[in-house]
Amino acid sequence: MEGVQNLPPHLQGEFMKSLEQMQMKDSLTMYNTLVERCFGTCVSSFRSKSLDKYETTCVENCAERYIKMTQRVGLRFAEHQAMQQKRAADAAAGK
Amino acid sequence: MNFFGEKEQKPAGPDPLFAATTEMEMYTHLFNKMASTCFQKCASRKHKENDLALGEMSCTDRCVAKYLEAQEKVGVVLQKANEAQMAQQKSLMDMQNAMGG
Repeated sequence: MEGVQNLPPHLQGEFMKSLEQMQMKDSLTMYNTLVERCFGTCVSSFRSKSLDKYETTCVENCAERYIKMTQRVGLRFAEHQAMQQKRAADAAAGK
Repeated sequence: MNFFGEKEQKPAGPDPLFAATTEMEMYTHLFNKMASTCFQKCASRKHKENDLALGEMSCTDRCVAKYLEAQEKVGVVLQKANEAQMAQQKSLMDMQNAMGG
């Protein structure tokens, strides 16, 4: 994350604001994507206007599982980034 | 690390705020696509439980590792193609200059 780490201090406030806006947009996009995905997996018949018990459980479980998976992916991703930064730091120090 | 997975040189031109914001966007996209892909490949079956099974969790860990490795390899290929294209453009320009006199 060199671009982010090398950002001069006087620009950091503005960067944080952009970051916040990005995160807000991202949350809403994620919400819609998740709905589309879970609907696609769980709902396939249109005999009635409301979700039956099976579909409701499926959709709710789908959303929870997605969130749990996202958390796990985030954890592994952060580990990977940390390892890479360590390798880069070691390589730089080794010079 | 730039997005091709290689050591980045100090950027001379681009506005640092734009670079940082773009980098953050890139990482956000990467994360979203990775989470989405791994969910599809590892946990997108019957949602009978609201918890991830042990197998699904291992699958997720491996999926993340492979995805990031694939990203690096694709980055290397793109970098080489980029360099080849720039070399080609340069030789074309040199040729034109030589002919133009």
